[in-house]
Amino acid sequence: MKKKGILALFLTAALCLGLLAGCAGQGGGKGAGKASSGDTIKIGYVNPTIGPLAGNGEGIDWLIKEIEGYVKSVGGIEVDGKKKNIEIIVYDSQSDTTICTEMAQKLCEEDKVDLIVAIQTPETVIPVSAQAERYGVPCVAIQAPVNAVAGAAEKYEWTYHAFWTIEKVYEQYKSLWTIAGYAPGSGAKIGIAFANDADGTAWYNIFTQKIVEDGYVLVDPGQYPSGTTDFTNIVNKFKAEKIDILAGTNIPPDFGNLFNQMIAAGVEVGCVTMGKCCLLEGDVAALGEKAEGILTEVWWAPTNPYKSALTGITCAELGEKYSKDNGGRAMPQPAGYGYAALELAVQAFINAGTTKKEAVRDALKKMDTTTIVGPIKYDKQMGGLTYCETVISGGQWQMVDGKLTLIIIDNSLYPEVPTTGKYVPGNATQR
Amino acid sequence: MKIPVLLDRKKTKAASSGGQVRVLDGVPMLAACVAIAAALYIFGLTGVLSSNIQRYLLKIFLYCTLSSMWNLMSGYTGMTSLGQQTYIGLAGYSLTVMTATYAMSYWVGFLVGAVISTIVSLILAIILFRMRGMYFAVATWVVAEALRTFFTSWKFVKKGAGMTVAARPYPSTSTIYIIALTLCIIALAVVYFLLKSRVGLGLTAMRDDPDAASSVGVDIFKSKLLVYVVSAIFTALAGGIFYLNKGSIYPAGGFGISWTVSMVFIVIIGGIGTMGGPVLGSILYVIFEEQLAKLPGGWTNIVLGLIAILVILFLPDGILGTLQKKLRFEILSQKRFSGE
Repeated sequence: MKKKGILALFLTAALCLGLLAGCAGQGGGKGAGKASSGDTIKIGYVNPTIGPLAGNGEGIDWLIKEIEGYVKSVGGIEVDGKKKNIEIIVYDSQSDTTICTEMAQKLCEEDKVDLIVAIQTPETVIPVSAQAERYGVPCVAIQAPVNAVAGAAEKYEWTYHAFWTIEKVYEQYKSLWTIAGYAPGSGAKIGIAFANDADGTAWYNIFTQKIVEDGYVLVDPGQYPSGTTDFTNIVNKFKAEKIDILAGTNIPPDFGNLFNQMIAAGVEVGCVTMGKCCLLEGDVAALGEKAEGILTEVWWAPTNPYKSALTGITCAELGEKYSKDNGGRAMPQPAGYGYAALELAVQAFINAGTTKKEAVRDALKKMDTTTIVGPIKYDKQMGGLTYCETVISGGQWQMVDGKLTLIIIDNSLYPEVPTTGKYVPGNATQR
Repeated sequence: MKIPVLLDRKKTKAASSGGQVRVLDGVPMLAACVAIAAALYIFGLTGVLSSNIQRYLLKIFLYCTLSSMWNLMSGYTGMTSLGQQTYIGLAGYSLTVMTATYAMSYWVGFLVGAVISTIVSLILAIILFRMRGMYFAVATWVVAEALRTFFTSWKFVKKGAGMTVAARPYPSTSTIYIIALTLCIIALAVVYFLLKSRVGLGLTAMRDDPDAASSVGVDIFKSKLLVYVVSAIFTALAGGIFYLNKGSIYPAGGFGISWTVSMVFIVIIGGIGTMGGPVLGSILYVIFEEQLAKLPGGWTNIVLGLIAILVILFLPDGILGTLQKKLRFEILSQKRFSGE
C-alpha cells in the first residue's frame, strides 16, 4: 500500500506537470494580447458536440475540413498585405450554457480569435455572443430564433445575426396546419408544448398570442422545465380537451417522453408540428415509425436553390459531398448553417482585407452575399440586434423505401424553395 | 474569543501520534503569504500578468473561496452539503437583476446577493440542522433543485431563458481579478482565524462526535449556524463574481450540482481538512479544466472523474494531506499542540 501510495502520488504529480507544461506552452503571455493572430486567421467556434443538443453539432469536423481546405486551395485570404490561411478553433459546449460562456472566454482571451461564431440554438448563441460583445470580437451569430437573441441583451455592437423570427415560423406552422385540414378560424384545438428554456419561451410568447388571434382554440398546459420526464399533467389536459393539433419546440428527450406518454394514454391528434427535435434524421429515427407524418419547419435542405458566392458550391453538391464523406448520412440542417456561418466569417475577412476587429465588424455590417442558406444582408433590426431573415419552408417526415425522410411539402413563404412532395397522413396523425 | 498570535518561530510539536510534526505558520509563513498576495496584486495592477493568465488566476481564486468554504463545512465541521449552489444561483441572479433590471452597480448586486443568501441560510438552517450526515447532504441538494425549478418558471427572471449581466461599463478581466483576489484572501483569513479560535476547537470536536462535544459545553446549534452562514455569504460573493465574469446566467447553470461537484473534487484532490488543500486543489482543477477543454466532448469529465477515483483510492487524504502525513509537516495548522 505504501508503494502504491507513492506511485499514485508520482502519477498525479506527473499528470499535473504535463498539464502545467501544456499550459505554459500556450500563447498566454503578454505578446499574445496583440490584435493580429500571426500566420493564420483564427475563427472561434463553440459547438454542442455532446449533450441534448448534440444533433445540432453533428458534422463539425467535416465542415472545418471543407472551409479550411477551401481557403488553402485558393492560396489563403489576403489580409494586411499578406496571404493567410484560416484556423477554426472548436470547443465543445457539452450543451451547457455555463460551459458555452467559459469556452467563448477561452477563445477570446487565450486563443485570441479574430472572429467568433455563435451558432446552434439560443442556448449557445446567447452566451457566446455575450462574450463577443464583452471582449469586442466580431461575431457571426446564426441559427437561433431572432426574438430569443434580441431579447437577451439591450444592445449588440459586435454581433450580426441571421435566422428566422418566431412570427415567421408561426406563419409556416399555420400553413402546415391548413394543409393538414385545420385552417385558421376552424376552431381546431391546438395543444402547445414548450419548455421554459430560451427557445421555448420565445416561441411560447408569440404562439399563445397568435393562435387565439387566428381563431384556433388554445390548450395551454403551461411551460415545463427542459429535461422533464413525467408529462402526466400535460397529457391528461390534452386528453381531456381532445386536442386536434400538437405544436411546440423541444429537445429530443423532452419530445420523446411527451409523445410516448401521449400515445400510451391514447391521446389521438390529427396533426403534429414540432421544431428543434424533429429536424434531424438521427433524432427522428430514435422515435421510430411513430414519427412518420410529423410536420416541422425546414431551414435548409440539399434541394434548396442556393449557391455559395464564396466557394461556388450548390446545396445539392454540398449535400452529396457530405453524404459521400459520412457513410451515406443526409446532411443535417444545422450543418448547412454551420457551413454558412463559416462562409460569412471568411467573406468578412476578404471584404475587410484586414484582421483589425473594427474593420471586420464593419465588413459584417455591410455584408451582401449569397451563402448556402440563401442571401445574407444584415438589414433588419429587432431591439438592439441587427439581423437578416433567412428562408423557411414546411416539411413532413415520410417513409421512403423504409426510411424516414424529410419531404418539403410547403413553400408558401419562400416560393423559390422547391417542394419535394405532398402532404400524406402518417402514423403521427392517427385521427 | 481569543485570536492566536502569530509566532515568529518555526514550531516543531509532538503530534498526537507521538512523532514530530513541523508546523509551518507564524511570522515567516505570514510574511510568505503577504509577499505572494502583494505580488499577485502588483502583477495584476501593473499588467505584468496577461489578461489570459488573470482569467486563469481569478478562476483559481474563486474556486479556492468556494472550496475553502465547503471544506470549512465538511472537512472541519462535518456538515457535508451538496447544495452550496443555492447561494451561487441566488447571488448570480441578484447580480443580474440588479444590473439588468434596475440598472444598478454590480457592487449593489454583490451586496444584495450576500444579504439574500444570509437570510435564506438563516431560514434554511432551522430546517436543515434537524438532519445529520447523508440526510443533511440530500436535503441541501433538494433545496437547490427546488430553487432551480422555481427560477425556471419565474417570469421576473425570464424563466429558463436566462438573463444577461448588464454592468455599465463592463469591468475588465483585471478588475474582476482584483475583486476575486481580495475575496479569496479574506475568505482564507476568515477560515484560518475561525478555526484557530475557541469556536474552531468546538467545530472539530463537533465533527468528531457531536454528542460528546455537546456534553462538554459546545453549543452545537450556534457553532453550526455560524459556519453555515459564513459559508453561505462567501459562497454567494464568489458566485456573484463568477457570474460577473461569465456575463449571463441560466437556472440550470446557476443552481446546477456541477458547482458542488467542482468543490468536492477540489477538496478531495487537494486534501480535505487542510488549509492548503483547497488552494492546491483549485490550482490543479482550473488547469485540468482548461487543458482538457481541447479534448473531444465528454473526455473532460471522464479524465477528471478518473483522477478523483485514483486520488480517493490511493491518496485518501488528498495530495497535500498525504504529503503532510508522509513528510510530517502542517501548513497553517488549526490543530492544538501540547506547547500551545
